[in-house]
Amino acid sequence: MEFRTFGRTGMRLSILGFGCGAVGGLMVRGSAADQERAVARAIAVGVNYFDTAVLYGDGESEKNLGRVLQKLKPADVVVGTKVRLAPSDLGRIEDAITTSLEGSLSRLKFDRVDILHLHNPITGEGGGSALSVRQVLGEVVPAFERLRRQGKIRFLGLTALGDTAALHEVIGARVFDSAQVVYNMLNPSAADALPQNYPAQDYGRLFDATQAAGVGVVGIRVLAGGAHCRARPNVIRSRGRRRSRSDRP
Amino acid sequence: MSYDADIDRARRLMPLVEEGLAASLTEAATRFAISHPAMGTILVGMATPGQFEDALAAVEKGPLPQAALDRLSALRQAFSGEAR
Repeated sequence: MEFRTFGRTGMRLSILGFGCGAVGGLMVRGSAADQERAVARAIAVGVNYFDTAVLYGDGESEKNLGRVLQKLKPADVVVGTKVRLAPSDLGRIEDAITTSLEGSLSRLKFDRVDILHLHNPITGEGGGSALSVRQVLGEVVPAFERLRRQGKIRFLGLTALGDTAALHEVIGARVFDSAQVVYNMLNPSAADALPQNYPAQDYGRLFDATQAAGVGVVGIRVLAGGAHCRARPNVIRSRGRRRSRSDRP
Repeated sequence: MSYDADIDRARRLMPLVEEGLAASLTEAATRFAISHPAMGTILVGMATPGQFEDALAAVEKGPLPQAALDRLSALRQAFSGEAR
């Protein structure tokens, strides 16, 4: 297994991480035996990053990952989870983040998670499920920092969905340690300029920004462009039916 | 990008496999994602333990060779101007 330094965190993560998400769904809907076998196998071959979220199966993914890790007791695995704020949380962002993390820690049976990622998309002005740059930098980051001071999280993360300009601004602020970035054969724009009139969101070489800021990158939606997708009807369900493009988890 | 359009375009990347640059599109997708040095770790959705083995086998082959990246870039040019 290849290991790479994860931005300024200094952590060495396996290039293959273990996604506990709703896409595929092993850690949400799989049998307990399959879940345990898969996680044990991953650890045996060197995988040391496990990624979950409250949203995956409404807590089921965290519960299942917690159960399996409690049983296997691996040394030195890195676990990331996520918090997704509802529109009704926006007047009380800090409380909502703290409550969400406490729930995650309880389901995972941990005292601390390594990375807490914001799961909402980020846009210039916010609205819908998105948060504005100002809400992220002015309210989410201070709440995350407080949790870090309390020893409940080690690193701050975000999900790089939303408006490209807003994502560049937030990453350029150099307060996040991790970003989950869309990068695949059909959309390589986090790395390279797209051809003219290309049918995908242009992430404007976001990797330049993450590298400059020392932000570690978690690659998401990497199999778009892989024939694999054809056999995975779960993908459609888990994304929801054509909500707005920026609204997908 | 809509899901259906993604699938249609993925099929048009099949020359990568037909020309022997990758064993399958899934393998190509996985190896593509780790080809950039900024990438720290990749997440691959799994329904079964077998899909983890597929991802592992692909990752162990390493990043795509430059010839495959160049071919992919050329194939992508054809998508310009299409609807998302």
